[in-house]
Amino acid sequence: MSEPVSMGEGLMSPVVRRVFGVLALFALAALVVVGLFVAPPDEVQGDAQRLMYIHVPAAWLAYLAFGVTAVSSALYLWPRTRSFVWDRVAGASAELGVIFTGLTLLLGSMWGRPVWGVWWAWDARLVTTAVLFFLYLGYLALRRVPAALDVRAKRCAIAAMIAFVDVPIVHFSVTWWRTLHQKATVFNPDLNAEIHGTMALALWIGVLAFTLLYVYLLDLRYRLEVIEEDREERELEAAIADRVQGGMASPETVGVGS
Amino acid sequence: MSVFQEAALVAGKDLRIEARARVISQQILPFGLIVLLLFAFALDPDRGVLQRVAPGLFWITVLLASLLGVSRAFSVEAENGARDGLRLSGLDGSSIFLGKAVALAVELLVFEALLTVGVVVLFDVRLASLPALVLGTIAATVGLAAAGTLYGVLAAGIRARETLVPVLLLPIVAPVLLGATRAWEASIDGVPGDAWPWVALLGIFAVLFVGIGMLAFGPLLEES
Amino acid sequence: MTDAGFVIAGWVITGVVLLGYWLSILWRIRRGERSEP
Repeated sequence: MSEPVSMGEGLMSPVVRRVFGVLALFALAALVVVGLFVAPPDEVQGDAQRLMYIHVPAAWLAYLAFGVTAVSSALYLWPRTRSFVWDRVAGASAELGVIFTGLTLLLGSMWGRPVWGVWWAWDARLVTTAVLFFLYLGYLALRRVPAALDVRAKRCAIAAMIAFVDVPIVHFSVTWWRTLHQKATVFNPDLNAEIHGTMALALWIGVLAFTLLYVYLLDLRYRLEVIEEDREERELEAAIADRVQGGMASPETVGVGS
Repeated sequence: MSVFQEAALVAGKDLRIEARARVISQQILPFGLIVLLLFAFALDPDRGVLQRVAPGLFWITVLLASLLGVSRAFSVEAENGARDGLRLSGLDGSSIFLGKAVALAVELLVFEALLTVGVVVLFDVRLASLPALVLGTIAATVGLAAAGTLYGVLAAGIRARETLVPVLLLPIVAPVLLGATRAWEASIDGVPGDAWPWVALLGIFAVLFVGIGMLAFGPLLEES
Repeated sequence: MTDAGFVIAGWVITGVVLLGYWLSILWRIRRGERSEP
């Protein structure tokens, strides 16, 4: 699918973005080949292990994306670096983060069913990831609230920082909670502590592929954000212009409101 | 005026409004008791189950009630440009935050005290070791009130406030639910000593969110 | 469902989600472009 000729201003030049896109494509193709065909099935988990080659990269990306959101939110709030660029990056990255977190949970579930026998377990990492998912889903809901750009940016940046501060607390409390009750045998998350050879390779290709994809999608989503901001501004100006015209056209309404 | 004096002013105002309107006693407390009843309908009232999960049910009810409390805390500012009045009052943002958070905490503590009677009666809970339970409850409530006040002001000017605040606040206060429930469980049925680490966690959460609130409330109020 | 079924389902869903997201951004960009003066 060819991309539109003109686009909103982005984080990188279109050429650089396309390079990332192509590299991501190759890396993803390599991931499919190595992950699904070249890497051997695991001794204990069997073929289900192959889901780890996308589950782990997805989880890594989720953390990266939310980290980016937190850092850019802080940069927006800091007066010396305040710029809508950071606000857009925060929003775009959060959206990607939610998607990757959702995939992490889904893939974890699909892995858990054959390996643990259950779709879900109240294991510390799963629960923390679930809370993370909802934290940033809320952030996305906040972003959708119509408001002046600077109002929305400040509000969302503060919300992102609060969520970011909360994550270690959630992680710590949940981990502590579950280790007190942990039945180590069945739900041992480190079922495969040592990963060798092609399996490790598959994981690394996965992380690389997803990271490249993230960078590509981030720039693309950023440009969309710029375009939508422009569009909202134009719609607002058009609405105001309409209002002004409409007020002048009908004498009875002159002096009333507007 | 010092921060604390200004905060006391604001807290006094909020509590006086509550004393007159009596929303806690007439609406939120009945809500809490009804929720406890509904839990009994939903779960097997075979005494064993309810008794075991009573701390969790208690704190979930408190969490839900706190959503109402937060909504109420900011709806009193919504009418007659009261929020503008607050902005123009010259009071420091952190003082207003402290005042509102303290008022909300007091209201929640009163609610919790009365709800505890409900829990003891309906679910046949025996409160054993009190110090950890009381301290934990206070720490949890302060944390809840601080986080709630923070998100309340964040969403203050938004029309979808009532549905937005729960989505934002509940994941944030998940550790409070966790810690408070564990502290209660340890104090009621388990080793009371086990409760103290959780009380410490609740304390840290409270301090953290009071701090964040004092920093962020002013800027958020300006924009609301 | 066999293990292979879960694996394939997981990979396919992942592909669909990522592809769908990518396409949705492109589509929204196109739509934004069209409304430009």
